[in-house]
Parts: sequence; C-alpha cells; structure tokens
Amino acid sequence: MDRKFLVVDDSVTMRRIVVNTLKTLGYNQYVEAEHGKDALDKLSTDSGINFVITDWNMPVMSGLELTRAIRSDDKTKTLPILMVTTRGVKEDIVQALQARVSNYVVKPFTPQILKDKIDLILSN
Amino acid sequence: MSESTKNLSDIVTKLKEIDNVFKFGEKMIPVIEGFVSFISDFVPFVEQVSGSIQDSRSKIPEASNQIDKVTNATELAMTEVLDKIDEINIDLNDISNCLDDMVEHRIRAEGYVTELCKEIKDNENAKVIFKKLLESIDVGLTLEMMKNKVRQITANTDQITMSLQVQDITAQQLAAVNHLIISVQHKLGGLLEAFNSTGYNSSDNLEISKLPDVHFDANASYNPSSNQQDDVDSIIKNEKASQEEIDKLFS
Repeated sequence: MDRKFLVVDDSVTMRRIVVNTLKTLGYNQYVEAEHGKDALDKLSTDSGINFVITDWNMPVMSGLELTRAIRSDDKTKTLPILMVTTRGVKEDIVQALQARVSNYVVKPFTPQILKDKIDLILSN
Repeated sequence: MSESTKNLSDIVTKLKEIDNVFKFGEKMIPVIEGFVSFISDFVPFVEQVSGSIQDSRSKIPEASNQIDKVTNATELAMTEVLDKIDEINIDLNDISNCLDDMVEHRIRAEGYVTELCKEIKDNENAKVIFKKLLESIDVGLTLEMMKNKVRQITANTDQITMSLQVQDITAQQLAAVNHLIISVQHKLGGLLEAFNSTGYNSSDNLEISKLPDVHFDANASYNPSSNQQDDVDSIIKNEKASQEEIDKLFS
C-alpha cells in the first residue's frame, strides 16, 4: 500500500507494537522517531512520509507540540495525525482536538482499533 | 530645687536603673546557661540528622538507577517477545495463504469430480467406490477447522500485543516514581545546604543530580476494556459536533 508512516514514541516497545501492527495490516513502509523534534527532522528530510502516528508524553518535544508544529507548517499541515496515548481524560482529548489531531487512540489498544482509526482517517 | 540637686537626683535614678539591669542579668544567667547547654546537646542531634539526610540522599541515585534498570530490562524482554510475535504473525500469514490455496484446489477438484461422475455414467459400483474415495480424502472440514485455528491464534497474538503495552504504562508509572525520588533528593540537598549555611560543614558534599528530562503520564493505567476507547470516541464525537455548531454560528 502506498503509505509511509512516521511512528513517534519514546518507548521502543510501543514503536515496535505499532510497527508490527502496521505490518500485519499490510503497511510495510515506516520511519521511527523517538520524540517530536526527531520526528520533525525526519519529516524535513523524508518527503515520502504521509501519515503520522504519535505518542503524547515524550522528552524534548511532546506529541501535542509536534502536532502544533506540523499544523503550522504549510508543507505538512494536511498530514493525517493519529495520537496514541495513555491520556484518556476529556480535557486531554479536547486539547488534542484543538491542536487538530486527526483522531485519538488510548493505550492499550488492539490492532483492530488502530486499523479502524487509520481506515477512518484515510477515508476522510 | 537647684540645678545641681536635680542633676544628682537624675544620676541616682540612672544608677538604680543600672542596678536593676544587673539584678535582671543575674536572674537571666541560669536561663542563658540552660539555653547554651540545650544548644550543646542539640548539635550532635543536628549532626546526626544531617548525617541521615546525607546517607539517604546518597542512596537515592542508586534507587533511581535500579528503577531505570528495571524499565530497560523489561523493555528489552518485551522487544524479544515482540520479535517472536512478529515471526509468529509472518508464519500465520504463510499458513493462511497455504490454506486459501488448498481451498481453491479443493474447489477445482470438486469440478473435476462432477465431470468424472458424468463420464462414469451408469456404472453404479464405480460411483459408490468413487464416492467413498472422495469421502476418505475430503479435507474440507479439516481446512475449515485449520482456518479457524489460525484465526484463533491471530486473535491470541493480538491479545498478547495489547497486553505488552502494559510495559509502556508501567514505564511511565516508574518514571513518575523516579521523578518523585529525585525531587526528594533535591529537597534533601536543600536541607543540607541550609545546615552548611549555619556553620555545620558536611563532610561529603554530594552533587545534586539534575532532574531527568522524562515526560510521563503519572495517571497512566492498564485498562484493557474496550469501553475506554468507546468513551474517547464518544468525547471526540461530541466535541467535533460542538465545534461544528460553533463554526456554523460564525459562517
């Protein structure tokens, strides 16, 4: 499938889980980043990335800051962004929506939930 | 009253005041002695407290390192498990493809059987034997059962993948604990500095470790129930709806 994912999480385990899930779903192109700043570097050097899956709590630059940075850049502002996080309270979700994430998944998630959200974002 | 008499009277009054001060001083001496004695007794106690603080503070980096080691070890173990799950998923995918091929072969075989039955025509004995032969080699049910097993194993690996996310959640909880104990170390460092500023010099000036740049959700919890995601979806739906209503008002 013609999709290249940027998977952003400071946890190696979580990156691995997301990547494994993507591979199971047939998406074999992906790039990994440890935090928001790392992700922005990857985005600036790899124009093929067309989907971002990011955690919220990360050192250096959080997923929320990353989302705002992506949305404020003309080159990247339309990129689909899926936030995958442990933060499940309403205030956090509203904050993420205000930063204009495309959708929101709480951990722990099943591969099916991730698939559904990716499909939903792509169908929109 | 002459001027000189008034002056003498003032001097006498002042002398009486000085006498009173001396008398008060005599009364205060035991109190001051008691206070000095109390301070003398208190110094070893302060030294003991300072020593305890220093001792506790010196153990904190070790405790913090131990927590980091636990996080790193579990992360390594989880990666190994995920490697195996990845291999299992690849194998399952191969098996599933093989089963699909076998189902296609079987459908083709059924077509050949129908054609062959037409060729046998009126030879009833041949038809009976052929039917028995087909029943003995029919793997249709076995194929269906195997496909169900593959689906079941896939569901189990998905469940394991979900359960492994507990590592990230516990890592965040441990990071919160780590942050807390390093904050305690900072507070203890502040107390030691306060002791030093009062003249008590600690024998060992430990370097205060910097608070690590770790970001965590201290409320992270492992809740595998699907209701959690349903609640999030419901909030997103409501929030989007309310935003759309606001947008309509402005349009």
